[in-house]
Formats: sequence, structure tokens, C-alpha cells
Amino acid sequence: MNKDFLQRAFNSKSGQVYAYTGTIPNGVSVPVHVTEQFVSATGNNLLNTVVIPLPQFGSTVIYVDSDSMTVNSEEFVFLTDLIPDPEPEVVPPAEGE
Amino acid sequence: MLVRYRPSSTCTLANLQSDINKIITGQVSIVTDLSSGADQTNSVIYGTYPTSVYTRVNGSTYTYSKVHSTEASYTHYFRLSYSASELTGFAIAQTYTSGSDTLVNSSSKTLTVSPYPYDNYYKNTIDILVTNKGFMILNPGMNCYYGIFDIGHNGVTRTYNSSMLMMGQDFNDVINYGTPNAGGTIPYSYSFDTLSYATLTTNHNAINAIRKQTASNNAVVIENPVYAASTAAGNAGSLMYGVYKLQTGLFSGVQTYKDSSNVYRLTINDYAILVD
Repeated sequence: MNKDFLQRAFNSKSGQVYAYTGTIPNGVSVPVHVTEQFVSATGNNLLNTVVIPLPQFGSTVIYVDSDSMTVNSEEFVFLTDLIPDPEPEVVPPAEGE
Repeated sequence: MLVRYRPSSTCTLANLQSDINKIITGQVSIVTDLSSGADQTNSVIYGTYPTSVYTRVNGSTYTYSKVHSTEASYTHYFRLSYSASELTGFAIAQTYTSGSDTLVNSSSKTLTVSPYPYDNYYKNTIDILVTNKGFMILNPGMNCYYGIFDIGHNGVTRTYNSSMLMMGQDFNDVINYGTPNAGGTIPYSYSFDTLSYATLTTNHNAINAIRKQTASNNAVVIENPVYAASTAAGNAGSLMYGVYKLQTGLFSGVQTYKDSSNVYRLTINDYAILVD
């Protein structure tokens, strides 16, 4: 699981990705539980997040479309910033075309 | 239902918030149901409100649930956010927790919808479209053409059934316009690129209709179905409900027209959106 993988998973948008290391209770929706823990850790319920369980990596990650919040919980481990795709280079037409 | 909302010169943000909320929740059926901030003389309403589809789920934020129009077990959510003077954000989410008023698995679109007073010369308007298939806000003066729409199942979403059956669509970025054909987003759906759920960007697949005319020289409007697909999901196509692709250049700007059954459509960038 590298940055390229996470950019593909979260559509290469800007933002941050954290791994969730806490325990998820039985019978509880993983995205709902992790999102609520993240809201509690940031004190902000207006962030847009996406939670993705990644069983192939034994991990659950959460993407947040902001980099201006403080995460006050050791259960969330910062993985990476995401950057948007670079703007496509515009090639001017050659003279005479 | 389509409300062509024309703000008056005294329209405040509170008026705009209240009127949009009343339109979404079915409290507006005639123009006099709008607030005093609306220009009731020049505002227009087409069609009827879809009952039992939209519910406001929180009293402080403008967060709503929407029941899918054919897959009744699927309910998704959206939230409108405002700055001190205008509508600035439109988030769409797979689900929602009421205890903390939190969207779960959400994606947000930044936009600008301002209550700029109606001008009879420029005919500026805020078009608010509410149907059982989707919800859309158009504010041409601010380059805002954004909506959410139900999408149909495909083989991937039936197998990975936490995939959302609702998508966000920016009609600035559709076939032949803007960043061509890149304006769709599904916040949470299955991706074979990561072998997990993921946020998908979608593009449109639609048959290109050709301009034809009748014997009386009237242009024929051909409405082809639109499928949203993502390479990450193997280009499995999902039908976009209530959205049709028209011939190139048939209508200019944002216009309404009626089909042969007198059902209205709203057009934008060679697409038609069902009003009823």
C-alpha cells in the first residue's frame, strides 16, 4: 500500500489519509465506526471522509478532504498527503497548422 | 419539479436557505409559498413534487436523505453548506449517523450559488430541480450546474452491494464540454484497481444522436439514455436515471422543453434532465 495505491483508491484528490489502528466492535459497520471515531478525534463533523477496509493489507484507512484539522487520537496514524493530478501540458500548435 | 427561482433585491441568505429547504422538503407548490426574498412575480414552477423521497435529517445542518427511486432499500444522503452569503458546498454520502450529524463515505463539490437579484434583461435565475430520480441546482451566472442522480445496478454493484446507487454530476464537465466527460463522482463503489471500495470518477457513455427534422422542418429531439462508467470498475455501466443525451447544439444554454406527453425537461450542454 503506497501513495499511488491510495491516490487511486481516493481518486487522486488532495487531502490526507490515515490508518485506523483501533478496535472495531463486532456487528458494527466499519465505515460508520471509524468515521465516528474520526469525528471525535478532530471535533469536526463537517469533514468529508471515506473509509476503506483493506483486508489484503490488514488495514482500514480513512481519507479526509482537508489538511487543516488536528487529529487528537493515537488510533489514527498519518499515512500520506494526497496531491491532485498535474494539469495536462498544453502544447501550442506549430506555425502554419 | 423545477423551480426557476428568481431572488428579489431584498433576498437574504436566510431567505435562500429557507426557500431551498422548503423546495427540497415539499413545502413549495406555488410561487407564493416562497419567502418574501423571492421575486414571486418572475419565479416559475413546473411539475409536481415527488413525495416520500426527501427528508431533512438534521435541524441545524442542511442534510437530507433521499430514497432511491426504484431500489427502495438504498437511501443515500446529501448536505448543502453555506458561507456567510451564499451556497458554497454540495456533499453526497453513502450513509449518515444522526447522533453526531456526520456524513459517512462522502465527497463534496465546491460551488457558488448567490441570491443575486433577478434582472429582467439578463433573466438570471437559480434553477432548482427536485425529482424522485435526483436533485440539481443550476446557477448559470456562477457557472454552477451540479446535481445528484440515482444510478442503476450493474453486475459489479450487485456483487459488491455496499456500492452507492447515487452519483454526483457536474454538467460543466460532460461530453464535449469543460474537462471533457470527467464530471461524475461516486464517493463509494467497488474498484478492481484497488480490490476494495473506492471513490470513482465516472464518464458518460451514450449513443450520439444525429440531428434530423420532420417534414414540417421541425427539429427532432432524440433523447438517448446515459450510462455512467468508471475504468476502475471495469467500465461496468450504470444507467443515470432521468438524464438524457441530446444531439449536439440542439438547445442553447439552460432551457425547458416539453415532450410529446407534455412532460417538461431542462437542458444543459446537450443533456436533458427530467423535470417530473
